[in-house]
Amino acid sequence: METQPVLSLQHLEKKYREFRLNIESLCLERGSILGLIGPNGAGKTTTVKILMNMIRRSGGEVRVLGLNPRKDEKEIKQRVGYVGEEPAFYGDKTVDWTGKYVSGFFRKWDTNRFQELLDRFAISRSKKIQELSKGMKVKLALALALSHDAEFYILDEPTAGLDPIIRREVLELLLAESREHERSVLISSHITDDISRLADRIAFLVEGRVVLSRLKDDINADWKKIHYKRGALDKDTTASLFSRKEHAFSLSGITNKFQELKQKFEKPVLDGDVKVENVDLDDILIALVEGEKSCG
Amino acid sequence: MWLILKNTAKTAGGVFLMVALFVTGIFILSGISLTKTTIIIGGMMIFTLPVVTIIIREQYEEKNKGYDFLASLPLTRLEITGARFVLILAVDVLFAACLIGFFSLVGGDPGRLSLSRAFLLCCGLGGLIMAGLVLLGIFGLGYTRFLIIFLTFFVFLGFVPMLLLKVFDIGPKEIAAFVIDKMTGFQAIPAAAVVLLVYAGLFRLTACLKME
Repeated sequence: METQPVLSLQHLEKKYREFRLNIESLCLERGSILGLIGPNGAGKTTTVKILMNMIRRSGGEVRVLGLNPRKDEKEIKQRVGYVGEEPAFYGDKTVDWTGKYVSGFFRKWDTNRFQELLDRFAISRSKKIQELSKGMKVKLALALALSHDAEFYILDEPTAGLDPIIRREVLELLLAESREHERSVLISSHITDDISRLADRIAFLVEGRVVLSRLKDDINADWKKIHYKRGALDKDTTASLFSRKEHAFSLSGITNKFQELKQKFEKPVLDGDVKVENVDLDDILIALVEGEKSCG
Repeated sequence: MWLILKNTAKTAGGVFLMVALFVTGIFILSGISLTKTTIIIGGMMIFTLPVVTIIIREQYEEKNKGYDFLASLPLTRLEITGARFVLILAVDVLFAACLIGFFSLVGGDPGRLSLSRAFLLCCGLGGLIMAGLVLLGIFGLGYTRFLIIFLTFFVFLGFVPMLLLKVFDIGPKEIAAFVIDKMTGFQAIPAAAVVLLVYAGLFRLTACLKME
């Protein structure tokens, strides 16, 4: 049994004139699903493209399936199922042609699996790519990525612009793939709902830096929304809250240390002065973005 | 690489066929003989065929984001770029060989025949370097930006004969005499070797440029 992580990034750096990607450390274990969340322009696509050697990194160490993308680009692409932000195909070719063309490049191409996925996604083989909707193109890209027995799926915003029905279908398929075949998945998205549904581990990328990377369950346990009456919390606790807001009769904020502060909250909760709510990933993302901005 | 070549061969084949038909038409009109016109047009076609092939194919790739598609497949950028350079080399060599063969079949004055062969070869080699530069330009600057620069350059190039005539009093006759003089002592093998080396260098440079 291989114990090597499928993805390992150390001090990854990519410098542009007006943007700098700088990921200190990011790791993904075999069979896990990592959700990379971040606002537009945070560096998600840059990170994914570096993994696929579509962009040259400025510095740092990158390993995908234990291999170096610069030296082992072909081998990585053989073993990785990749879906880009906007899947590109030759518009005048048919779905059938595209499948046959792509199959020629992969060692472990499974034609039956591809045909099965086309049927499942209701994609007509004889249709030209230019006749397919954006959702259909994403489904085709997924069908291609899932048909060569990949060990690791790298998906860059695969659900952006898809309707909720197709989105759910795509997510369910990925989840099944990960659970049944122990495949690892890296999915980048700014649609936090998708990540919340799919990922075991979540990394928040803000302005080119991973500002939070933890197991989803740990995030859910530690990040809570607190509604409190004025004076119900001490100064330090109040100061540690993110996204503080004043409402008509109460105040609210988000804590990232709920487990640590649990005891402090017990009495005011019983007194009805404090109410604790689960927080969704959108709120965490906003809190982190605001936190980054206030830090300069 | 073979699969990319196979996929792009259709475009190259189409352009090849069109140009071949055009040259055949010119030959028929000039009574199937080696005239100055047939030699010059043949040379011009050999020179432009690789560039036209590239421009048509790259427009198609640009429209379909073809390089994004290819980059998602188990291919290195060296293979993707290499496929283009190999295709252009094959088109150029094949067309030059066909035309030189055709000229030899038509026959005629041995002096003129040897001169025409040297001229066609020279155009073929020049076309290859031009094609390499075009690929380098497209990969480096992007298709649209390069095309604007390329077309502007050719518009200015159109003024060169006029400039030569006005400023230096050099007309078509003098140019023809100069070309004939150069073609007479043309060393095909060393010239081809140098051009192939430059072409390989352009390929290497283009493959490196393809990275963001």
